[in-house]
Amino acid sequence: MAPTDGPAPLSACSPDRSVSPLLEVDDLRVEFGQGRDTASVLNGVSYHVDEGETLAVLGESGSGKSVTAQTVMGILDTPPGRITGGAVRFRGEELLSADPERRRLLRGESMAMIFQDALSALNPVYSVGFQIAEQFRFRRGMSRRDAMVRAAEMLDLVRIPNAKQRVREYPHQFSGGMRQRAMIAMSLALDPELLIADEPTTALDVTVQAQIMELLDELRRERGMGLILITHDLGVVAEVADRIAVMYAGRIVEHTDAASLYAHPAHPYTRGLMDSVPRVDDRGRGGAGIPLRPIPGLPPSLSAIPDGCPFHPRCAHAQDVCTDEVPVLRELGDAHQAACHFAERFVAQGPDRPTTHEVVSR
Amino acid sequence: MSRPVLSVRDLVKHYPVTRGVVFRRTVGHVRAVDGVSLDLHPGETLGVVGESGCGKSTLAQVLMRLTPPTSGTATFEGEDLFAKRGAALTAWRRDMQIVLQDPYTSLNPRKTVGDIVGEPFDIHPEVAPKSDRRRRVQELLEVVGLNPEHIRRYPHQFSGGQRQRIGIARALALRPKVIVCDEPVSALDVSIQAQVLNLLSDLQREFGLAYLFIAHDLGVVRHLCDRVAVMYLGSIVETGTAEEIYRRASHPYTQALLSSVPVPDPSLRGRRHAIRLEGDVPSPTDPPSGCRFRTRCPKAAAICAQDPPALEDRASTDHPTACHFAEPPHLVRAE
Repeated sequence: MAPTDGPAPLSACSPDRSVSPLLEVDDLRVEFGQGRDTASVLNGVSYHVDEGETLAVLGESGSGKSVTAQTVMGILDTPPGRITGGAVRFRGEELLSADPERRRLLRGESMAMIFQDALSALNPVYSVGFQIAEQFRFRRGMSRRDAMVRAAEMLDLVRIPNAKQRVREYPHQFSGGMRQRAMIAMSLALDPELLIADEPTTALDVTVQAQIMELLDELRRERGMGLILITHDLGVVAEVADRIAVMYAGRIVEHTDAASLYAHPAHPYTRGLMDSVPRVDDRGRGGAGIPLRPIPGLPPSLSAIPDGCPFHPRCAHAQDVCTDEVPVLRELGDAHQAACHFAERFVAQGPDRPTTHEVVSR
Repeated sequence: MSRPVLSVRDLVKHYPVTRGVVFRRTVGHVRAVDGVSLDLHPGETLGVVGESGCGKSTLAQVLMRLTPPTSGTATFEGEDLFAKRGAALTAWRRDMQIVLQDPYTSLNPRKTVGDIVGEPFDIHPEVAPKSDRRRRVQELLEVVGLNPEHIRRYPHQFSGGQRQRIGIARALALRPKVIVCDEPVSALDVSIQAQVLNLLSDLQREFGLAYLFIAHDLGVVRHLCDRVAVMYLGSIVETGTAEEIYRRASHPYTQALLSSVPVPDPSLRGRRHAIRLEGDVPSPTDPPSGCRFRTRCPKAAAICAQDPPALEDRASTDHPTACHFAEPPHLVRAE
């Protein structure tokens, strides 16, 4: 997802921490269910996003990455969900205690979200244009006609060809990639400062995925938007993220800038993920093919997270301390944090995947 | 090279598009598979890659005899696959099995794991006498890395990765020679996906299986496959060994696909550029004349609209490519 004007910045955290960041999630805790079946879905998640920056939240299913985003947006279903602690601040304003009307106003105006499955996120009985135009009508007081014109402009912005005609078409008449574009258009209609993209390309083919990620990256840069990219794909993250937060069992287990994460992964879970992914630049079978080294076992059930480090039952390096003590995020220098008792030891070793390091390019 | 176990020539599968309720008439055809030829040798893995709608799953269904072909031939160990009827067809099914994509819907929720994995023995009682079945099922569960004690459990008591292992155990039950894997790991999380891929490799070595491995994930295919066929809109556009495809891809579509795959290496950022394809895949009811890729191809010229390029070795390549302007790719090295 190459930027058109030179390499994308690989900068770490923004240096100026005196002003409050665009979005700050602080020690967020969420539970689902009651009594013995209580699932601790978020167990103290903290992250922040600054203007114009891309934070990638990386994790497998059940790690809590989507629930965090839903809590930030205020669209978490309660019940069954229950926010038991923590804070979400948008430009310093605490949201969890804000009244629902205020939160409704912020949605769309200040923060917006796009989802994995664009077909089920769009209403099949209204035209795509109508669904985008709604926001202009109800939030900006425009007439139907003016709102439709603006909707067509939005479709044009996300590079849907013949936007003027297609604005009257229905979601089923759009291809998968175009639906995702339409959803991006809808989320950007009121010019939000923060965009949360929850697995925006997971359902798409790889050539379309490349187009959509490029579009998102360009729009973020043009508008100076903060972008939270939720994904499980280590490849997508490597191409667009400024910073990366790796989640496991409702916790952030590692957090650093993109370059350091791949060069010096410090948490055994992050390292395990990297060893598990078959890559296009793998030497594969024909060459010195090596077996993948998967992480053994399964992620824990969230209603029975193991004591100590939640990763210890699957970790090859687990010691006694790992079963007794929950590791906190420790500073490894250079704004690199990892929640592992032995993080210092791992961060010193680079990753050791033999790849050809050769990839096809334009 | 050894004699292929499965050999497919000019396979075509068209689905009619009909209009009208009382007077149904055919108004066109979806050309799902349109002239595919391939060979699968014993013990090897042939990867079939392509984007959604390219016909790779239809190919699997036709080869499994789940749906009849429109035309074309396929031979299994020298015998005509599509001519098999009755007992011969049933007997052949022992030799070729399938693992499906979705581990949630491909297992009957009302049956225990023992019933699911043991069902092939009901249909083919000659493989295992009834008295021996329980032991055979437990052996199979152990082979795929499941606890043999869990034979009485139901599918919902297992995770996605474990369910896929159940599906693999079922496919292995009759000791087939060929297993068609239709996107076997795409519904799984990364760490679980790697476990299942390693299992497939181990089983292949142990039982000498040949895999026809259908997938859209190019990383997975490179990892597992000896040879690769790239499909676009019902036809194979390029085929070769994994090395030939991944490092010397010469069809513009293969190159675009490979360049679009994100690589987990930030040092490539800004130095590697995706070959951007314009527009969408054309409708398979009305594919473009000549080369089917020409409507999106950056190299398209007049000849491409008239002359469908044959899948053959070309001057600039070391493997068959269906492109008039085939040339080696531009490679970028990471630091």
